Amino acid sequence: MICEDMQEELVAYCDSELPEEDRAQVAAHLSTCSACSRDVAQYTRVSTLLTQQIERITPSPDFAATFWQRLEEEKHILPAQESRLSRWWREWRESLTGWQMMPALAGAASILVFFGYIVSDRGPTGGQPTGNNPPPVNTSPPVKRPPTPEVPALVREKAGLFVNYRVIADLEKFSRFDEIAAVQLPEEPPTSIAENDIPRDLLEKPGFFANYPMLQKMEELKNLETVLDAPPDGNDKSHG
Amino acid sequence: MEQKEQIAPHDDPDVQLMLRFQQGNQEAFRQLFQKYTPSVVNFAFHFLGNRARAEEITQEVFLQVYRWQQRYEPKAKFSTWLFKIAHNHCLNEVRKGEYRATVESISPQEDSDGEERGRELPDTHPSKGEDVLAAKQASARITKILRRLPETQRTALTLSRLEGLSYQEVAEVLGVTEKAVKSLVFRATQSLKDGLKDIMDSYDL
Repeated sequence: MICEDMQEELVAYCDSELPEEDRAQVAAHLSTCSACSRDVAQYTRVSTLLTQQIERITPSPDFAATFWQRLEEEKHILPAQESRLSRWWREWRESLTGWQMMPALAGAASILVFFGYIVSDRGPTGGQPTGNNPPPVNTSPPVKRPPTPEVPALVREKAGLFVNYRVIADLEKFSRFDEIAAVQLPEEPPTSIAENDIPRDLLEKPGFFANYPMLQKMEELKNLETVLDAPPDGNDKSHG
Repeated sequence: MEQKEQIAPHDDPDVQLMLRFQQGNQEAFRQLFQKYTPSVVNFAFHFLGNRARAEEITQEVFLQVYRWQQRYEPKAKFSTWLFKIAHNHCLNEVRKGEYRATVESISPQEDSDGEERGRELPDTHPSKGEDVLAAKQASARITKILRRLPETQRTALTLSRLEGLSYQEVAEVLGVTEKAVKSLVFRATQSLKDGLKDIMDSYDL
């Protein structure tokens, strides 16, 4: 290994982050290479300068008092006003960063749309009343499902939107979505879009793609707050 | 130089404090808050470059620790878990778009005496006025270089060098491999070395 390629190792050496064997190799090299020894001295100097001269702040005098006051307010609000659903939703939201939230929201929205689709599919003629009744028992012939809509180009390009699709599985654990799990899926899932990066789980959930307008809406929105403030049906009313 | 020792989560005294807090000991939470407030507020400050937002984020981080007490599992050192929460909050803050850390395009050669006036500079005890000047220049320069670094390099460097996290712990915070952290810290150090070269050559810092 020539000296130029050793620089990364030298910095790790200065940080005491090399495993024993590598550390011994670097030490042996340093004993014979004055150039690398100078580099190590410089890296050490930079590190010292950083720790000594970096700007550091001290929290404001009222920082702690403000925090304990906020905490006291939360203690009263949290148990009294939060339902199980809202607490779960809040904690889930807080566990994700903004960009992680986008695909997660897409997944969540798809579940809701899919749920709505199932309810509407039962309709006035074939539908079962909702409420406390058990899920419909699957009888022959199986429920006919419309074909999977074609995946819009935008969705194809945004493979990242589907990365977090596992969140759907998490949502399905929640009792509110029990009915979704009870729905019989087609024995032969559509394969026309199977070559894409979209997980097969989603291919088996045609309702996901029915929410394309919501995905578009999310593309237009800049941050999570705006997404959450968007119309719940995902349609932009301003466009009629 | 000895290799850094890795502490098992259960051997971390702060993990024990968190577990005591989980069992209802409020004093344990108070101790964690007092111990880690300076670290978290400075981490957020170096990430965001704004004192008020850094303090706000720090409060939110500790509120989250409080809310999540029952879901806490000692899988890593307490500080790793805490900085992971802090990192997520800082990322959200930056990506909201309402606020961005200032990125200035001033090259090291353009720095001059008195730049960054009004900022808090670290206490120094120089023996000569020249050293005071050099220390101030170095401090302001470091601030500028850090703000110009890519977010992941800056975070890896500050967690590693200033908060004392190992590469492995930084990797857990950032959700990357240890090898990636090694590379990030190297590149950040290289940028600092290049940016501080003239000051280091001119003064005995």
